Amino acid sequence: MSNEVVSVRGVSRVYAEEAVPVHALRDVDLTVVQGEFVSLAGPSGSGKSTLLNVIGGLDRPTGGDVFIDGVLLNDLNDTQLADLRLHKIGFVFQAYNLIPVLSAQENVEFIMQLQGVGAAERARRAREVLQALGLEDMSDRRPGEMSGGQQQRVAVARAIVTEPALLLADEPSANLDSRTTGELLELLKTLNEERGVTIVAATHDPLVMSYAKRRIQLRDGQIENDSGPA
Amino acid sequence: MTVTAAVAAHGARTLPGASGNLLLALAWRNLWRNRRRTWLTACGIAFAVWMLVFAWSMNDGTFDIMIDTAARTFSGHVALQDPDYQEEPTLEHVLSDAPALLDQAKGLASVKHAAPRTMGTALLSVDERSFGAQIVGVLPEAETGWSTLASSITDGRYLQAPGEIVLGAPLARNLHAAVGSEVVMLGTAREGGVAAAAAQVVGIFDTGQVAMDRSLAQIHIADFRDAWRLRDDQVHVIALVLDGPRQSAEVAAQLQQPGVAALPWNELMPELVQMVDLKRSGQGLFFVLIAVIVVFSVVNTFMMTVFERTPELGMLRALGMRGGQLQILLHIEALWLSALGIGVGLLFTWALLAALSGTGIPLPEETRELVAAYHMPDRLYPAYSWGATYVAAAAMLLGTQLAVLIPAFRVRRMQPVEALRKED
Repeated sequence: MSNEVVSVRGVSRVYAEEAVPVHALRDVDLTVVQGEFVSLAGPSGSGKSTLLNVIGGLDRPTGGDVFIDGVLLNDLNDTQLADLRLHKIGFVFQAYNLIPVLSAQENVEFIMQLQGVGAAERARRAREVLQALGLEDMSDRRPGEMSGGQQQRVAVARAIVTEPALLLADEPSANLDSRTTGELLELLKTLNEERGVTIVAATHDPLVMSYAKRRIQLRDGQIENDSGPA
Repeated sequence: MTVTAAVAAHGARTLPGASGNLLLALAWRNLWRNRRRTWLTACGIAFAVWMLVFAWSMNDGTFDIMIDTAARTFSGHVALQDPDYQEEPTLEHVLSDAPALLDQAKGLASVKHAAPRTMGTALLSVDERSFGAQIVGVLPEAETGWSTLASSITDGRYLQAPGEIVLGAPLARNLHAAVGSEVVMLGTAREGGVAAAAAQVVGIFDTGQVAMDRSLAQIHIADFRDAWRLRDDQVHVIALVLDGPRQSAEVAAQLQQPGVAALPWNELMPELVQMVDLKRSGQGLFFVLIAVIVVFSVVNTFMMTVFERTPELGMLRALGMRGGQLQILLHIEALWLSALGIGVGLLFTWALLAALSGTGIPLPEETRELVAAYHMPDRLYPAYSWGATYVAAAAMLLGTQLAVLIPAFRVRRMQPVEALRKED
C-alpha cells in the first residue's frame, strides 16, 4: 500500500552468538502507515528496542522482511542501509547523542551535510527548525552547555530537519524529568499532528504511551497487544 | 524506480567530500577533546620533523664546509678541462684558447676566482736526492686569496715570480730541501721531448692532507710552459672558485661547451661524494626508526580515540554516515594532527637554526686542533635543507595517514547497534 511507511512481515531475530540462542523477536508482523504515532512498550527483554533497531536498519533480522517506505531492507548492504537511514529515517536516542564538539545549529546541519545540502541552504533550514522548536537562543551552544531537555529537543530538530518518512525514538524520555518529558511529548505530538511526521517510539514510560495514538505491547519477542490504528 | 535504484539515487547525493567544511571543523575540534594526548602525539611528530630537518641542516652545513675546504685546497668548485683529461690526465689533453675561457668564466657572477693550471710529473732532485712528484704550473696571483695551499705556507712564502718553487712539507723533507734550495726538475715534455727546469725553493706548505703534501710541487705557469713545451694559451685545468659548493652544478652547466668539460666538485672528488652519501644513509635510517616510533604512537592515539568515541561513532553510523565517511573523518583528524605536529616542529627548527646560523655550534676542544689541521672552522654552521623539510613533512603526513588505516578499518566494520551498546 502506498502510505505504508513501515511493513514488518514475519520478522524474527535470534542472537545465536550467546551460549543459548536468544529469540529477541519471534515472527512479528507490523504495519505503520503515514502519520501514525506508535508506541512500542513492554518489559525489558520484550524485544521493543530490537524491533525498533530492525525497523531502523540498525540491525538485521534473521528471518522475515522489513520494508521502509516501500524499500526492502533485506536486500541492502551496509552502505545502502546507511543511505536509507540518512534519507528516510530520523533517530532520537535515549542519551540525546548529539556531537559534543558541535553547536546545536551545527548538529542539526551535520545530517544535511551528509546529504550533500549546500551550506547556505542547510543553515537556513537548521535555523527554521530550531526556531520552530523554540531553540533559537540555543543555536550557538554546545550540548554540554544545554540541559537534558534542550539537548533532546535539538536531537528531535536534527531528526526532523531532513523531513524523513519515519521518526524513530528509543526511550526518548529515559533521561528526562516529567516536566521536560511532557514538553518533549507535546513537541512530538505537534510534529505528528501538524506536520504529519510518522513516529514510532520504544518506551516503558506510561506518559509516552499516553501520547501515542496507537499502542503496541510486546512480550517475549512477540506482539502481545496492538491497539490498532487510531 | 526499483528499490536498488532508489537507494542508489540516495547514495549519489551523499558524496563524502560534499561541502566538507563541517567535517573539517568536526575533525579539528575532535582533536581537542583530549588536549594532552593530542599535544603529546603532535610533539612526537614535531620531534621527528625537528630531528630530520635540524640534523640534516647541520650535516649539510658541515658537508658544505668539508666540500668547500676540499675544493679550496686544490681542485676548486668547478674545473674546466679537456673532455678526456679526467679519464686520462696526460700532457696532451690541453685546453687551447685558455684566455677566452677565463674571460667567459670570470663573466659569471657566481665565479669569484679563476685559476689556470698546467700539470705534469717530474723527477725532482736536490743535490743527491731525487723524488717523483706532480708539478703544477700556476699563476700565483690567481691562487692567492682563495687557495688553502697558498695560505698553508709554514716556511718561507708563496710563489711570486718565475724561477720559484714551493714544496709540500713531506716532499721537502724527503728531498732534504729547505727554503733557498735549488730543485732540478726532469720530466717528459709534450710530444716526447725532455722537460727540464730548475727553480729555487721559496716556500714549504702543509695543507694537512699528507698524500698531497708528499707528492705536490707548484711552480710558475710560465716556467712550466717553457719546460713542458706548452703554448701561452694552453692550460690543463682552469679551477673556478664560487661562493660555495651549491652553485657548482649550475655554473658547470653554464660553461659546458664543445671541447670543454666543466666538472662540478662532485665529479672532481667522488670519494667525498661517497662519504657524504654514506653519512646521509645512516642519518636516513635513523630517521626511519624515529618515524616508525611516531607512527606507532599515532596508531595508539587513534585506537584510543576510536575506543573512547565508539558510541558516538555508532550514533553517526545510525544517523546515516557511511563507514567510508567515518574513515575520511579519521583521516582528516590525522591530517590536522600531522599538520599541527609539522608546524610546531618546523617553527622550533627554524627558530633554532636561525639562532645557530649566527653563532654556530663550537666544536669540543679536542676536535678543534684536528679540524684546524684541515683548515676547517672550529664551529659548525647549519645550511637549511628544504629537501629535508619536504621529506620530513611528507613522511609525517603519509605516516599518520597510514597509521589511521588500522583504527579506520575497525570503524568501517563497526555495526551501529553494537557501537551504541558500548554506551551502556
